[in-house]
Amino acid sequence: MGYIEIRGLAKRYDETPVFESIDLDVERDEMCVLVGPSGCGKTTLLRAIAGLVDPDDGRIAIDGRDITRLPPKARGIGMVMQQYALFPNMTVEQNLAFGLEQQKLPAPEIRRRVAAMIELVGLQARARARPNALSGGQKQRVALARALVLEPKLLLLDEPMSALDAQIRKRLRDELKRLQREIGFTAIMVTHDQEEALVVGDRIAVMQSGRLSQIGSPHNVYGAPASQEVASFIGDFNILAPAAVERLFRHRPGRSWAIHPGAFEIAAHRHLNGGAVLSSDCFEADATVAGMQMLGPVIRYHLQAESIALKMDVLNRPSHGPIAPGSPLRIRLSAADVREI
Amino acid sequence: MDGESRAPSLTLPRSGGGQAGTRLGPTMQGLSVRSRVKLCAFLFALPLLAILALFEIAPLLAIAWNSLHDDDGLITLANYAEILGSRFQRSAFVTSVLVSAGSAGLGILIGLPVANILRFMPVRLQQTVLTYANIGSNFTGFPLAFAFIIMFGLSGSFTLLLAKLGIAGHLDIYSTAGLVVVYAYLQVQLAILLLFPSLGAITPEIEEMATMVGASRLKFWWRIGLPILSPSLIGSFILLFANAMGTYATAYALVGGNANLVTLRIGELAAGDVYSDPQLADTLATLLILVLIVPVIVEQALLKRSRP
Amino acid sequence: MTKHGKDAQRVVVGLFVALQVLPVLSVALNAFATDWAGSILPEGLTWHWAGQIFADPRFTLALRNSLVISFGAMLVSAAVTIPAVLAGHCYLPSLDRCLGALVILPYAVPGIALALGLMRIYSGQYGVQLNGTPWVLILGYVPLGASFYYLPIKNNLRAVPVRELIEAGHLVGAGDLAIMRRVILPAVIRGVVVGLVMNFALAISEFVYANLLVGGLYPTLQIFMNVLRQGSGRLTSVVVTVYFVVVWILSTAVVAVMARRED
Repeated sequence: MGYIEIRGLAKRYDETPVFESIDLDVERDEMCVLVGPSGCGKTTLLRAIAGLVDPDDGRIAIDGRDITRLPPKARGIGMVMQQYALFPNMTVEQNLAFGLEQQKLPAPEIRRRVAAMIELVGLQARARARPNALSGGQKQRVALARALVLEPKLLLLDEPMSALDAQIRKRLRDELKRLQREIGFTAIMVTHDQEEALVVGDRIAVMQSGRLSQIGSPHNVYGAPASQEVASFIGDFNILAPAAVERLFRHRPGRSWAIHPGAFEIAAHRHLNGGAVLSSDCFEADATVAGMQMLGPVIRYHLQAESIALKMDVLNRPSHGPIAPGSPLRIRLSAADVREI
Repeated sequence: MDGESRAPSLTLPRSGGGQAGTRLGPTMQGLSVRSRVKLCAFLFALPLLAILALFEIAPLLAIAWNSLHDDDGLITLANYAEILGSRFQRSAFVTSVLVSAGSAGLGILIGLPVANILRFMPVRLQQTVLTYANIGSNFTGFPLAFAFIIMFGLSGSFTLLLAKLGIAGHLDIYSTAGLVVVYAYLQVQLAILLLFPSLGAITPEIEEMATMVGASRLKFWWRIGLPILSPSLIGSFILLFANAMGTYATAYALVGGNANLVTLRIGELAAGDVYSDPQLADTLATLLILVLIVPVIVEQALLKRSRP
Repeated sequence: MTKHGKDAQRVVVGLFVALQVLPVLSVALNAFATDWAGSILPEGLTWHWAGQIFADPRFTLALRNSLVISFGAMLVSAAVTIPAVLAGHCYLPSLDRCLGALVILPYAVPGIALALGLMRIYSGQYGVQLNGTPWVLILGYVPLGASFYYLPIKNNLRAVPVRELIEAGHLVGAGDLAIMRRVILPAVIRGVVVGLVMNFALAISEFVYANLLVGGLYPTLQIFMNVLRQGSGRLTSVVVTVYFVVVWILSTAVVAVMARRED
């Protein structure tokens, strides 16, 4: 039993399912990130939770109360939309106050809560500005504050960072986590950016073509992908069919191998020809560097081994120069790092 | 023509070269090329500018000039004094303003909800409706008046239908109220055309957000929708008002000289057999333009003040 | 919500069609009715009135005159306005602002005021006698129709990175004229098509200029309707129907063209 409980949720448009058999639990004060490629149905799922889209099947409950058929405003859900959708004719303060006014709260109470929230997101200086005078990052914070000031039971974030540039994005990501620590809220966030998902999420739900293919902690989803699709989407894994594994390592497994690019090691010497099983828990193969990409903390090498393309990440140490394209090298892989899927 | 064809060949060495010492040269050449292209562009715009000067600006100056002169060509304000002193002419302005404001208001009142529903239709349907509204806004003058006479005239089929249904009080299209209705037929279509683009500012997301924070539809339109639209509502109203104030053909075809509208008075004074008085006609026309220009200037000033 | 929305859509489209079709239908019925007095619907249909009009040389003359003026005004307006709008938008921003104000001006200034002015200038006092000839209408309609090109073309141009396109054109060695013709003009062609039809519809519907400046010297359809007004309503109905049919055929053609371009 989760704080948020979604069971068997489904939505079809003209018989084509947008999403189906969605089961998801989110604990109190937890940030659940719904990650998946664009078009996988994650935004529609979020809108169904918000009540903006009617699901065809299934139910949604918050804190034991079934909200599946309630109108959006009766659900106690706050939302931040991709394009923020701030009310353009209202100042920052008025944007925040509007929702509280609908609850018919006394004016002093509204003023107090609006001021406190504006301070919390650090927008005191822009409190009387209109949305079109704000920067992208500021708009985003107003949208977040407007949702949080109503103290929702659940906060929905629909790709809240996608319209921002990389720098501001990182800062707001941290800010979102800080706010969550300070005031504590339960949230479901949608993103197509797997890095963002891993950083922000307490729990990650990977969504692919309308279904949740894996739910777990960031560590669990990244380190132990449940399917080839999850492996290639989240961890950028190398996926090798049994025949390919046999060509490389002279060992035929029953199922495909998923190998993380960081799992390869460069063996010190080339003492054997061809692939080999050194022992039951270690494999080696010859490869050639076909190209490299500088990713920052790591260098990504694109290797060719037995005409199979492999991705290998090596820690970028300033003292080690890059390996030149064309260089032969021997790669080693520990069996513990191989995931059969 | 010459500048057009030579432009690329002159700019080419600038991008290819780059030797020190000739730095000034290419820049100067570049400038002259640019100004030649501009001159050429101006030549292309010249025919339109000439026609606008001769057939839009000159006529306006002509009537303004005429309105300030008497029959002997002496400068005078007597024409203005005569019109402003005439109860008949003043009441023409009052009737025109009432009919125009009424029909403009009706146009917006009906056009706004229609344009709003249009937002949610497939793009192709939108295009079709807008194109026909565009064409329909040209159904002025005789065709329109005539259609209304057939439908709502004394023995019009709708008049008879309404009578059969026992709905009392038929619409007298030859009255001032009738004029408002006939004008409104055009104003609604114009209002749809004018308001539809500005409704783009009200995105579905903003409406959804308002729902999420608990606002009813009514609340949403009152607190957010209408305030967002207010500049374009005012602008559209002024345009519709001006459109109705200037309508001549429809009124002429419908009521002939019977209604006391400014445009009908102008037509009478300009070409009437009995009352012809060119100076007075020009004065009346100049006054009409002034009445229409003032709201536009006020609106522009308000717009400027609202976004400093 | 969606079901409710669909219903509202149907109602709106229905009302709109009614608004557009009912007047036309009434006039057309009146044109072909045998007897239609004191009843809601006519008792029978006849070609009598239509035949009478089509045999009337005044009608054929008016129709011809209207088509000459409408096509003439449309072509002249397009020929002078389109280059000017492009030149202003692409090269002369200050001219562009000025054009923007000038083409909007006729919306605020009543046609009858402009017509009076034209009457004063082109009746020969200043050595130019245009009044009474089709030329005063063809040229006089240009300011009234300019906005039909200016507004949609500007709309289309806003979506086009004109400066970058011109620079890119220069880099591949194209002249400005070629860039305009091959790159910019195709981008605004939709606006041009809309403008052409609107312009035509305006010119064939216009009465004030035609009545005051040309009148019986070069009678158009609208003038002919005015003349007929004194006589039989049936004959007027036939002329109005012909006018409706011409305009509707044209606008439907545009809707079809626009729809095809979208695919």
